[in-house]
Amino acid sequence: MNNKGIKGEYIFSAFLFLVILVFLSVSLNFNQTARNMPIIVGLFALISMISYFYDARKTERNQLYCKEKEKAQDSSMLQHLQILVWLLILFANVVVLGLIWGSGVFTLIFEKIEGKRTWLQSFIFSTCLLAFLQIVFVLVLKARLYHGVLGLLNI
Amino acid sequence: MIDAAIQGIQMLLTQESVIFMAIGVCIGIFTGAMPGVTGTITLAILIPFAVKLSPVSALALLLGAHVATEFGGSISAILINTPGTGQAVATCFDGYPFAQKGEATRAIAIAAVSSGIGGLIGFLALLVSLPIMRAIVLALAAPEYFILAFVGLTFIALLGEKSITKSFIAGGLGLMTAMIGLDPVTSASRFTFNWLYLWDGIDLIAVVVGFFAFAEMLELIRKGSEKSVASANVVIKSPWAQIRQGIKDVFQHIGVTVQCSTLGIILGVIPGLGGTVANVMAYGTAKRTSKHPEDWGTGIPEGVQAPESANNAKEGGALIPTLAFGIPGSAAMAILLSVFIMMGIVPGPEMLTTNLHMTFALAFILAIANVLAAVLGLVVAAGAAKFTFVPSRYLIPVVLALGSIGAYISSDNIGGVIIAVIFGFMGYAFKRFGYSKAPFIVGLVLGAVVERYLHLAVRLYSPLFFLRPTSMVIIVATLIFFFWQIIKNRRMGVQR
Repeated sequence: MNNKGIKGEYIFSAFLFLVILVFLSVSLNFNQTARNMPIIVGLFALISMISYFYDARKTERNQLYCKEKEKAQDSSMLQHLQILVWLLILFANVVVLGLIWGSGVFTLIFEKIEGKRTWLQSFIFSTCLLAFLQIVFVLVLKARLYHGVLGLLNI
Repeated sequence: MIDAAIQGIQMLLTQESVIFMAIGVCIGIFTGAMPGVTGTITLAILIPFAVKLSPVSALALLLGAHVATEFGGSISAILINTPGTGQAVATCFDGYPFAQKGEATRAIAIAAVSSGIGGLIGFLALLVSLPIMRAIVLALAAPEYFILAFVGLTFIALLGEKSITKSFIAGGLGLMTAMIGLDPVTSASRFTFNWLYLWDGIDLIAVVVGFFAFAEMLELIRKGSEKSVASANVVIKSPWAQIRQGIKDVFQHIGVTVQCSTLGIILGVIPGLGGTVANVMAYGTAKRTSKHPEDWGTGIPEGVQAPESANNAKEGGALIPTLAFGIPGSAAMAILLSVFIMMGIVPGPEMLTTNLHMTFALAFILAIANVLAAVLGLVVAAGAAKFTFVPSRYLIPVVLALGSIGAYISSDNIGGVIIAVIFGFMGYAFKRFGYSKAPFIVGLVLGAVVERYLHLAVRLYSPLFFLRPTSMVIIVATLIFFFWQIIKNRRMGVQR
C-alpha cells in the first residue's frame, strides 16, 4: 500500500474538514434568514466528511480497496508542492507585470526550466505567445486588461 | 411555438453566429484530439473570447466547440489508442485496431458520420420533448424546483465515477462556495471577509478556469512536460477511399447508430451520467445485441459507431434538464449554464416560456454544429492527427495564459485570477486525492438556485412546502432511486 498517497489524502481531507468547520462557525454569526442555507449545507458537508473518515478507517484494513487508491497517488507531497509553485510563479508574474507581459515572462521561464529548451527557443515561443495575446485581446477584442503593479506605477 | 422556432433560427442564422460556430467546431476538433485537453478545458479557455461576443454568437462558439470535442476525442483514440476526452474511451476498443490495420482514416470517417447522425437524433429528441417539458415545467412550483435542484446534486454524487461520500463532500463544498456573497433576501454579507470583490458572489468562470484548466495543466506538469502522448508510427493509407468506405459503413449498420443514439439521449437526460458512461454503455449494449459479439474489439465499424453516436446524442438529452430545470447534467453543462447566466439567460421555466426562442436557437446550434463537426471531421481527419503529437510543454503556458485572461475578463478584476489560482490548487488536489470535480461544480451552479427556491417555497407555501403532492412524488421517487443505487453499489463493492 502506498502510505504516502493515503496520508496525503487524509491531510487534504482534514483540511477540507477544517474549512467546513470554519464555514459553519462563521455562519452562526449571520442573521436568522441569511444563515439558514449555509447551516443546512455546512451540516450536510460535515456529516459527509465524518462518514468519509469513518469509512476510511474501516476500509483501510481492506487491502483490496486500498489498492484502488494506490494507482492515483504515486507522487510525494514535495512533488505536489513543486508543481504548485508553477501556479504561484504565474500569479506573481501577472500581478507584477500584468496579464499579457506576465504570461509572456512566465512562458519564457517555464519553457527554459520545465520544458528544458534553450534560451533562444524559449524566447521565440514566448514572443509568439505574447504577440498572439496582444493581437487577439488588445487589437481585435479590445479587452480591458490588467497591466500589473508596474503598469499602474507607469514603469 | 412555431413563432419561437422561427425567431430562434433567425437569431442564429447571422453571418457572425455561423462564423463563430465554425470557429468553435474547428477549435473543438483540434482540442478534443489532444489528450489531456478535455471538453471542459476547451470551454474554460474559450470563455474569455465568448464574453466579448453577442449572446447567440457566444453560445454558438461554446456549444459548437463542446459538440466538436466529442468527435475530436475519437481522433486520438483511434490513432494512438489514447482518448482525447473521457467520452472517447470505448472508441479505443475498435478504433485503434482499425489504425493498426492501416485504416485509421476509415475509422475517423465512421466516427465523424455516426457522431453527426447521433447529434441530429439528439436534436430531434430535444425538439420533440420541448412541448412535453413545457407542460411539466408549468405544473411545477418553487418547492418542486428546490427539490429537483437538490435531486440533481444527489444524482451527480450517486452516479459519479468515484466514492459516493467524497462526491457528497465535493457537492457540499460546491454549495458552500455558492453561499459566498450577499444573502439574496437580507443582503447580509456572507463569507466575504470584507473583500469587495466577493460581494457579488464567487465568479463562476474564474472557478471553472482554475478548477479545470489550471488543475489539468498542473497534472500535465506532474506527468512530465516533455511528453507528447503520441509516439506511435501511424500510417494512414489512401485517405479518400477510406473516407468513402467509412461513410458506407455507417449506413450499412444504421440500426446500431439509432439504437445507441436513443440510449445516449436517455443517459444524457439523467444528471450525473457523463459522456464516459454513455460511451461505454452504448458499446456494451451494442456488443451484447450484436449477432457476432466475438468480432468486437478487432476493428469493426459498429464498434466505433456505437460509442460515437451515443456521445453526441447525449448532448441533446443533457440540454433538456439544463434548460428546463436549470439542472446541469454534467460539468460541461454546468459551465455552459454559468455562461448562460452571465449572458443574462436564466435557465429554468423561462427558457420554455418567455425565452423559448433562445431554447430553439440552442437546439439549432446543436444540430448545425453536429453536421458541421461531421463534415469538418471528414475533411481534417488526417491532418488533425498531427496535433496529437504536440508536447505538453507548449500547451501548458498557452492554456495558463488564456485561463488567467479569462478569469480576469469575466469579472474585470484581478480577484478573478486570485480565485482561479486558489481553485487551481483545489482542482489539482481533488484530482490527486480522488474527489470528483463534477459534483463540486454542479453544487456551485445549483447553490444559488437551491437557495432562491428554498426562500420562495418557505414564503409561499410555509416551511412544510415539501408536503405538496407533486413534491412528495418527487421525494419518494428520489428516495427509491437513492436506496436502490446504494444497494447496487454495495453489491458491486462486495463482488469486487
